[in-house]
Amino acid sequence: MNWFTQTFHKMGSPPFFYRGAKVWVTWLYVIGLGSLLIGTVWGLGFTPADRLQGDSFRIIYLHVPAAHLSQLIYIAIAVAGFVFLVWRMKMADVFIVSAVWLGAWLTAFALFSGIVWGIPTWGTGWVWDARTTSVLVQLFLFLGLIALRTAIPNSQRGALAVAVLAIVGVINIPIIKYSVDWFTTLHQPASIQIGNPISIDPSMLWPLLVNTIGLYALAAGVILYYMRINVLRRERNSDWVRDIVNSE
Amino acid sequence: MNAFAIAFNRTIRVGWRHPLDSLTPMAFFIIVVSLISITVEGVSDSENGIAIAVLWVVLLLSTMMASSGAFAQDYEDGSLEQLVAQNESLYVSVHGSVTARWFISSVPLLVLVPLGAWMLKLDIEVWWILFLTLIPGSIVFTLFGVLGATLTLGVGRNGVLLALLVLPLYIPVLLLGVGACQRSATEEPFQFALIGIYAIAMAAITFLPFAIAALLRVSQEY
Repeated sequence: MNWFTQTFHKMGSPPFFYRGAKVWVTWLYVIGLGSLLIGTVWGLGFTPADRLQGDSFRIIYLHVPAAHLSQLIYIAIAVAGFVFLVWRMKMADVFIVSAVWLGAWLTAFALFSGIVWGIPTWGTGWVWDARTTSVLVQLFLFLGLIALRTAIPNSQRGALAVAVLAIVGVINIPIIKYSVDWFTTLHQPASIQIGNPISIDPSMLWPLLVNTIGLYALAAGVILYYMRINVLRRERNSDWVRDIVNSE
Repeated sequence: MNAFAIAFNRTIRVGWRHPLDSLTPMAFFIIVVSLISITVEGVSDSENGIAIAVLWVVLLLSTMMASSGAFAQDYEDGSLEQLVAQNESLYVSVHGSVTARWFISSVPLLVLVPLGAWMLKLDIEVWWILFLTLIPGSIVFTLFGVLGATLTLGVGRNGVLLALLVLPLYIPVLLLGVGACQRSATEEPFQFALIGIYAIAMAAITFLPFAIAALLRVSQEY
């Protein structure tokens, strides 16, 4: 525990983060791209077709990880917003700024792949039911965060405003999560739930898990990569950045 | 007088002296409802469904318009700084101010709802459920609208930005409210949606003033 709190405090220091994250970015890129390649080839080429949906079910290998990850990124942004409001940690705001675009793109991709999947299976690309609507709301929330951040010229104040908005928007997350259980919708309930037997065949499950790990690792790598750039930009007047620039 | 009453009285008095801030959204409400009644055929004979949705959406937009000016004048003339600096209980002051704003901006609109319902030929049996849901709904809309207004304090031409920030937050309440009314109109069970909308209203009344107070502090610090 002592080790953990120490690392936590150290990560709050920009120079420590900048140096420490470099190795992580490389490895996360390697693991992420590698697993995505394996999982996608496996899922698209070597798993049996679904009995009811045929080959169209294979969109699951990108749709589910993207949708899940986009939601996780929103929660992470809200947690970072809370950390920023309470402790005014600079790195929390750097995380928010770096992650918000990725979250918006992943949400948009989840919606798009859902539409592509819906056309052959539901017979319609879009229905205004609870799940699709609440994911659309999540996209709007991401866009709102981006717009608010760019609209406020004062950086500290913009960061605080974005943190508050992110926390307020968290109310949408349980609505997304439980919409398929509470309301009758076209969208199926989750096949993989903690505490319940998994209702998906192992031959289809493994590529999904590999792809999920891959996308998570890649996203973490991308966020860290942008965080390093943003840290440098923000600390451009400090001594340690000058040292790095002079030594290279 | 306590902090709630001071903030309440002050906001009411300012609102009373700027009647256009309440009258413009009212005019907006009537104009949009008439535009829809004129152009959308079948609004009046579609078993109330479309009329309910129209009333909800137009009320939502008018409330957003009405609350977009919250604290803007105070921010410009410095009285917001005094409010924050007194620091006695900003949470309670925000409560007073938001309650007053609901009376200034939402109550006039709610008074217009029967006129709108009559224009859209809504069955009179549906009116009671409309009011039962619109009252908590308009409270939530006002709170989120004031939150959006405080988020964008000092940002020039904030109208479009405010809409982008606030409208997504309105959607759950809108869905629950319209759902409850339409289910009641077709005599289906609507209790779940009705309880849901009151629950959201309670949560919003409790927690959103914290966020608004925090943002008001931030607007003075930086």
